[in-house]
Amino acid sequence: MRRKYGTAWLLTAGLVLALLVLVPVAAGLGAYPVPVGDVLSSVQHRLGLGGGALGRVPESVLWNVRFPRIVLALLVGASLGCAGALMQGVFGNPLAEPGVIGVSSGAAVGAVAVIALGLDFLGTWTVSAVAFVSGLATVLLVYAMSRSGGRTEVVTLILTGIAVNAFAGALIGLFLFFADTAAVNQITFWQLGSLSQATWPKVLAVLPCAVVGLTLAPLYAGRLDLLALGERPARHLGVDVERLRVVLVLVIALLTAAAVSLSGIISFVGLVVPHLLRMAAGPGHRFLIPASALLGALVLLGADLTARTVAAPAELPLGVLTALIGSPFFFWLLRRARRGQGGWA
Amino acid sequence: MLVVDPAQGLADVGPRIRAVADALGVPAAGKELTKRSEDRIAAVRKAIPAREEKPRVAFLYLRGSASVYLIGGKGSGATSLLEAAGAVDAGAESGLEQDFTAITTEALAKAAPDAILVMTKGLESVGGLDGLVKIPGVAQTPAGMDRRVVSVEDGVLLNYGPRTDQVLRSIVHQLYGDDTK
Repeated sequence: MRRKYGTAWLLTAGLVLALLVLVPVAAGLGAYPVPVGDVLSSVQHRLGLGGGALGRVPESVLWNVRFPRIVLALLVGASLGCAGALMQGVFGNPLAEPGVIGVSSGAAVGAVAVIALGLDFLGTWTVSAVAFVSGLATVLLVYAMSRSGGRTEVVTLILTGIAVNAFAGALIGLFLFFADTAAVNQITFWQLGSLSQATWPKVLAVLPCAVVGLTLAPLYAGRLDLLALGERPARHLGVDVERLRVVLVLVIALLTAAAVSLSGIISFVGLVVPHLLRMAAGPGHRFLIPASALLGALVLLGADLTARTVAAPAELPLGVLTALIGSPFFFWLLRRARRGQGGWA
Repeated sequence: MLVVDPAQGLADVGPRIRAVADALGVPAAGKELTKRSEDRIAAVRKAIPAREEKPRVAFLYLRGSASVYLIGGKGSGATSLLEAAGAVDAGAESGLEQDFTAITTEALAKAAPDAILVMTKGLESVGGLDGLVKIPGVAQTPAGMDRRVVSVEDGVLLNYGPRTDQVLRSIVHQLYGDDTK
């Protein structure tokens, strides 16, 4: 146990340090090169600590294109990572990820419907707003449908989620079928996930959801640890399991719906980030929840940096990139952990 | 049954008209129409004001807010129109071979086009001119700062038929304003 606690602190410090290094690096790199020195100087200038403003264009690229994108990557990544850790904790199931209870597919149905029907009652915000609402609504629907007699069984919830996901997939297919070519294009790109349209207003839109979710989540770490003992023992230890589940499902929905509605579907982060940390430092949620938020932010910032630089001036779809690089890495890690522990039952 | 190859540029206008006319059994009318179209295009090109520096124009394919943001390259078909209008296709110039490429917003800022060519429906989908110049990346280009945007109807821009001169005239007019003779 002693060793694990040491690892946890070391990992947390390492994650924070990595973020502190990666943020200025990401701010300096891009198709429009701004040296890291200039970035720091411009930041100093804005904070009124000396330094100097850059030219009109580099200053604008830095503050209106790159910084909002970096902040959005951090928020979305932290939200997805944290939601994934909560999800696996609440359902005591290593396969759980926010997508299972229908957040992503629900949001996708909303977004796809808006695009295919050409709705624009909220201007350029329509897609995001509708995606957010339909994502939340889908989770509530899944939750309501899987309750019976005032209780929710995990298996029922997950199976209901799978059924609703399938239904959402069918709806998306139907909209695709009726959409014109331009809309099909747009839908495809939305589903691949991207942060390329990041602006400060979008950051402000996701910020409240992310802050509420990320603040609430660690408060439930202790109760999640008890829940890991099993539902009945946790109840005997004084945990109101049903309430815990309701609250956390709402927190997960809030975090994921906000993230997905602005970035499109970004797979893999919510599933794998908590697994990586659990393999490294054990399953205690006091560490796992905040660390998943940190690692999620780090992974997504790194992935987005890669997406916008590796093939410059072209841009790779972010959701594709996270899964493309992440899945083989996860597979390798899985094999290694399994060998180390002599196989799992 | 007649299949006409997709048009790639202004040079295709004549052959396309003739191919259709031949298929309809009116080659003489085809020749006449070809000549008229080519004369009209030549007239528009003549009227382009002489400038020392050619404006660099980026052809953007936009669709709504869902981050569809593609730049036209060599294969987009607009290069030849832009060249005829006395401009340079910024996408083709920066070495993009495909018809459309998803580029990063910063790459557009770096390409620094003097003007942006869009299709009318694409422009509408991002909230018109005011919406377009606010899009990250566009806002940082000379085109975005000066609000120099050329928009052409979706179906008309790349059809390279007998009315190409009207498209060209419209581009020239929007690009240079009232300097056109």
